[in-house]
Amino acid sequence: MTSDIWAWVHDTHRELVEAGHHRLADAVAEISGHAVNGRPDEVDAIFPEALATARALELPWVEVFLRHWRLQSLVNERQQGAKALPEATALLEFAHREETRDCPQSVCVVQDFCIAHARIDGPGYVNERIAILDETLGRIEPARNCFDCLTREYSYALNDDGRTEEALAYIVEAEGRHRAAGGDPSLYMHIQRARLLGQLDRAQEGLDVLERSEAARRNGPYALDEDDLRELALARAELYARLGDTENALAQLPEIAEPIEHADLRLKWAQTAERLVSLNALDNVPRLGTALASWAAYLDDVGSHRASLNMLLIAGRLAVQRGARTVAQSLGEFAARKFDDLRRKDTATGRDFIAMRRDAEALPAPELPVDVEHLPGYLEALGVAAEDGSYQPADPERNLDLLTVAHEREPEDPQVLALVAQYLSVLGLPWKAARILWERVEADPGNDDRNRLLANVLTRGRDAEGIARLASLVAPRDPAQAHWYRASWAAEQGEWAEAARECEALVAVDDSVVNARRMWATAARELGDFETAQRVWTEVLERTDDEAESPVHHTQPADRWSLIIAATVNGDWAAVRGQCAEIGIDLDTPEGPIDERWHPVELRYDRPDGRVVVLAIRTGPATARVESVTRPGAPLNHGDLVVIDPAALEPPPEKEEDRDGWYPAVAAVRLLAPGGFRTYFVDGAHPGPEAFEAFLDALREQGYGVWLYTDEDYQIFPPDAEDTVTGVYTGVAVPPTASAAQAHRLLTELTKDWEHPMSWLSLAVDAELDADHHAKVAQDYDL
Amino acid sequence: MREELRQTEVDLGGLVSVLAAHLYSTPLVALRELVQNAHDSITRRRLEDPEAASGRVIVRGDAAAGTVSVRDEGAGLTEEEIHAYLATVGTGYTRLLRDVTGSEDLIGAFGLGFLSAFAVADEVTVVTTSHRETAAGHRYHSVGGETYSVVDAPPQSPGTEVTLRLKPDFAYLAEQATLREVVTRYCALLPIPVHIGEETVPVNDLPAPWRDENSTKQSALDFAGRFAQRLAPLCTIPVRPDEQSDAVGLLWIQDSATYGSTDNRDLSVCLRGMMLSKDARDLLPTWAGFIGGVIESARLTPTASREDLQRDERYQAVHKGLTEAIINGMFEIARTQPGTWQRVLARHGQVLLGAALCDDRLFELLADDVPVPTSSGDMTAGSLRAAGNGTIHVNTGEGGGFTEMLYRAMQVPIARGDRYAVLPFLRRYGTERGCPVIELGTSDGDRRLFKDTGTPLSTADHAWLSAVLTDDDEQLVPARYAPAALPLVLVPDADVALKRRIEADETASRIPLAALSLARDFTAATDGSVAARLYLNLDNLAVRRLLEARRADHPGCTTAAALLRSLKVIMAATAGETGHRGDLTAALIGVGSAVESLVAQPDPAPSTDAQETDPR
Repeated sequence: MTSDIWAWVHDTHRELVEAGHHRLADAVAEISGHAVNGRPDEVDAIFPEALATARALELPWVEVFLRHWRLQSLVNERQQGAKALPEATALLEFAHREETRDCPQSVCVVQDFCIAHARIDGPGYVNERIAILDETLGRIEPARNCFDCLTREYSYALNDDGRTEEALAYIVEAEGRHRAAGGDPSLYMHIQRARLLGQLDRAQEGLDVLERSEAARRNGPYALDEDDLRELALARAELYARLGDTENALAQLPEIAEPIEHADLRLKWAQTAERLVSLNALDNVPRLGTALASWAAYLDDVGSHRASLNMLLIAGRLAVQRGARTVAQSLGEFAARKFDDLRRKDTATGRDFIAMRRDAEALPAPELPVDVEHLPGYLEALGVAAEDGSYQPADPERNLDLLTVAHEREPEDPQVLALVAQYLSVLGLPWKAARILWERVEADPGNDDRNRLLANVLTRGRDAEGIARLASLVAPRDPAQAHWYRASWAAEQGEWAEAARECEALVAVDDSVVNARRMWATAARELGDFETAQRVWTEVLERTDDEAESPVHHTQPADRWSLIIAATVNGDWAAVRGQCAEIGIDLDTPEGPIDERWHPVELRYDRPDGRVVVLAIRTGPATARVESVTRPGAPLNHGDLVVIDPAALEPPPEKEEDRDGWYPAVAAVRLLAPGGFRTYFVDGAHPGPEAFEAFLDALREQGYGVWLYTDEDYQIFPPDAEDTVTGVYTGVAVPPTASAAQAHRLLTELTKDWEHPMSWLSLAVDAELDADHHAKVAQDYDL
Repeated sequence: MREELRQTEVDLGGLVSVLAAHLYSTPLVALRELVQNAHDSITRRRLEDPEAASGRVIVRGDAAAGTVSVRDEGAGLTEEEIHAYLATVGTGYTRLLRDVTGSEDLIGAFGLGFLSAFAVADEVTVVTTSHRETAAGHRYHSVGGETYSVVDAPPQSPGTEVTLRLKPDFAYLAEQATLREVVTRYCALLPIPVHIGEETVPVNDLPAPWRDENSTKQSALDFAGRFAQRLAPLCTIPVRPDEQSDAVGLLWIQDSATYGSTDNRDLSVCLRGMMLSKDARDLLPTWAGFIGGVIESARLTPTASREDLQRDERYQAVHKGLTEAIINGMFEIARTQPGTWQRVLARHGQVLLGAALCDDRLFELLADDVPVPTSSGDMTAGSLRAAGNGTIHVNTGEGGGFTEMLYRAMQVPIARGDRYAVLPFLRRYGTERGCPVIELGTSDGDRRLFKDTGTPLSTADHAWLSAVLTDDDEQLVPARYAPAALPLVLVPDADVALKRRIEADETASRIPLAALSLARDFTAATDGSVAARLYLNLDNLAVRRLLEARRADHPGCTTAAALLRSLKVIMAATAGETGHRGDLTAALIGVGSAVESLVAQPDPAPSTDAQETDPR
């Protein structure tokens, strides 16, 4: 093994800086800090670029280094097990190629691979982990930092195997060897030692270890970082809880926001919380249960099977204590699945699992206080209104239990089923809601209400495969519905081409549909296909009216406005006028294009080269003409006629006084007719308010556009002056009817009596007149 | 005249090295200490003699002589005071005075200030006349600090002048530029005017904006510009106290461009009038790599060195207060100074991209405005989405050459997912704005890019296409994707590639055995039979025609298929797939044969135009 990794990092950083690869150098310097200090977003932010650069520069050692630290972030901070295994395996292979095997970080890669297995099922892989660590420890000296990590890992493995005494003895000895060789044992070594002492009923000794370790670090060269402080507090909370010192334990226990933010704290936090609940120091509330259930689902998702099961057992026991029957039994069902995923089943976890499930199943079913059909109303009456007026159930878990009994009694009652699904989702068990619905739907795919309910649950859970499965299940009997599920999903994902295709197919199957046409037309508009959009909105209006009772067949304002926008883009003014008449908009002219002067709007136009925001005057129901004078090359300029979506993008300011100078912001749909104006800038000393107003008025009178770019903050230095004077920088839009020379002469005439000369160099150049003079003014005034 | 060499009442040799090595992170602190002593001396005089003129401090550097001097028009010292306060550690005069007067205007605290001069100087001379004994002047002189002498000197107007003969290592302190930089920074908030040499304008003439009722945006910017020096400010953000934090001051967004994870955070902290020499950047959030500033706080606790801050609850409160100030300040700039905001975005776009990930409100503020690097230059996420017909495409850099090929063919801008913060930012943008984000080169991206056909090919069609188009280990996947002009794309399976490498014999000699056997357990679960997928685009004209020709038993269909097959191999080769599949030479020869066969037999099929009108 070659030298210490940090010496290598130091050298590499310097070499990269010297070679001009500053960004990669920074990434190398920073990624490990982000990885160990709980900043996964920052790891993800810098990793891809750094990796691509390392590959492009053919720096395999740097690649190993970067991938190792990202993997650390995945398996530690994010607690990934099976999910990280492909990368852990690929990196293991990469780090042992000819060109990388001597990289000092290759040892750590073996450890990452080992940790990924510890996440999947720590006890299940004990023998393999110990074998790997034995092999690795044989290759390094006790002085190296890796020795600290590897021996800790070894101690975790022994403890996972139930050999806690041995794990403690091992870590104590390892610490001694590390220290004797000149190493400085990490805080984490001490935290592990303290936790093991706690497990062995020597919690006070554990607290003392932490005290000494923290004091040593406070006096040492390295400050404790946030991650250290979190881990320390959590370890202390656990030890105090073991001692029954609930006051100190609660004081140390991090707020729940911390484990919500940092996945690596969750299991220990939950274990300590359970202990504190048993000591009556913490309230066992449904909200706690919901958090634990969602954490278990997360661990399941990332393939940390053992931790997911342990989390479920805690959540399940707490649910049993709350008497939350349906929740506890659902958690038991989930736990059974995770138990099957374990590699090793003969540990205490197995017994705990059986006990939890037994207790959950033993919870008595509640008596229904009213008939099934009256239950939803009864529960609603029990609810309370929250501050924002929304409905809050008094006891969601009890309500769910009642609803579950009602559902078992009347499996076909749609309202009860919908509520069961809703409560399960809210309580962190959306998978259970989907499962109940799937069972019913698969048995009988002919119930539209239920199918829709399932589609909603699947959409909320972003379950693309589930939607596809539901659609194929429904397709033989009701192809229109199948298209609808696919279309809705595609629209939800913003995949408009797909949504349009499905809607078109749906309309081919059932010509009477209205909502599918609404979606189709919306998709067509998103795709820029305004002809289809107009045709389909027209069809929507043919199938709806203002009197209809059902909301689907009732004409909605958006239907008419969408048609107006599409027809405006298509230049179909007759159609636009027809809808205006329906809405009750009076127009000045009876036919032809609409070009009136309504009110100012703030126009936002998203273009491939960026968003442009300009002031415009609305000229009709869905058009506006740009007032601002923009820089040359901008996608919109003074005089351009733009199709707008007149729905305001933001509500007006709440306070009356803020509405002064406020204009509604609307989105530009597309440019309808360019105005042909060219922008030039006039720069120089301000001639005084009166002269300037007269200047602007004269330009406007001649059909020019003007736009003031500066305020009194704009100060310029006249030549030989002692002090600055206020400057003015004005955009002038020259109409297509005027030549550059005409514009130049007009400006010259209008500014000839001003105290200071103005400069409009680019116009002078285009006009081929006085360019030298304007260049000199710009230079003299430092414009 | 008496001359008598006295012993300083501590082991100065030891102390000075402690001072130099540990207590002060920078030798520049010695200058600060002297200026602070001068300040306290003037304050003392005001307390003792309210009639006296207001007084000022003059700092001079003489680069040629290697000296720096600090003169004050303050109280001056009597001979007793020299022995008591200049030469004894721990009985700092200021401290005594503060205890007696209770005045909070005094800065010094530990009585080490004066002696710190020996950290940078070999020789220190103090010439002083006390305002209480105006007829007697004194001259203190010490080489090295361990012994010193005090002699009578001609009386001058009351005050003290300390002159340091700098050690060679610190001679640069006497340079005018260095002196100005250091003094400007340390004295910016002192209420007493501090001059450099003969300059008439004091270095601290600009009032701190938060103490000045008449301050404007411009005056705040001027102050920031003076203070920040090298990293000039673009615009400023005020810091005001809140319930938890008492910090008050000024932050600014720097004008010099940042990139990626650049960290130019720079925060000066002033505790009870004393500017800490150490940059307290950690008080700013880590994402704010473009922020500079100066704050005052009475609640922050200095460490024993006085140059750093204890990371206690108050520290956290100030940290939180500053974070809030920056976020609110940025909202305010975006709302009221659109031009400035555009410049902030242009200067710090990449850093902001990362910042947007660290705070929900920042994401809201920045999501639509911050530029994202793409294959067509910088664009906002909204424009990228518009240009991609409602979908954002990101190149993750993981897909290898085929991704490059595909996106050149797609002709839409592709975000550079291999650049700082782009991928996580766009993922989040997609989630929050309900916009599909396709990560080219990932299995999920492939699934979304290569859409299911809905209507599967007949078994016979599938089998025939597989036979004519695929090689060993390749699987034919009928799909629909843009651009329709692209007939097929070959995507290697990364899992199978890994399986083959892990299971290769030579790997056994390289990877430690225990780890290798676990790795092989893992790859054993991978089905190794499909090494690459051939996505056949059913929206492509050539593919559609090929299928029709095949169904009609057209004699040319085998030749046409061979042409497509050659295209596949050539594209994979051009895409630079590592260990690319298929024989390139054979493929090129195949093109020749196909052309030959097409030219040899006139095509009996109707013209393409006629085919286009076919309702199929």
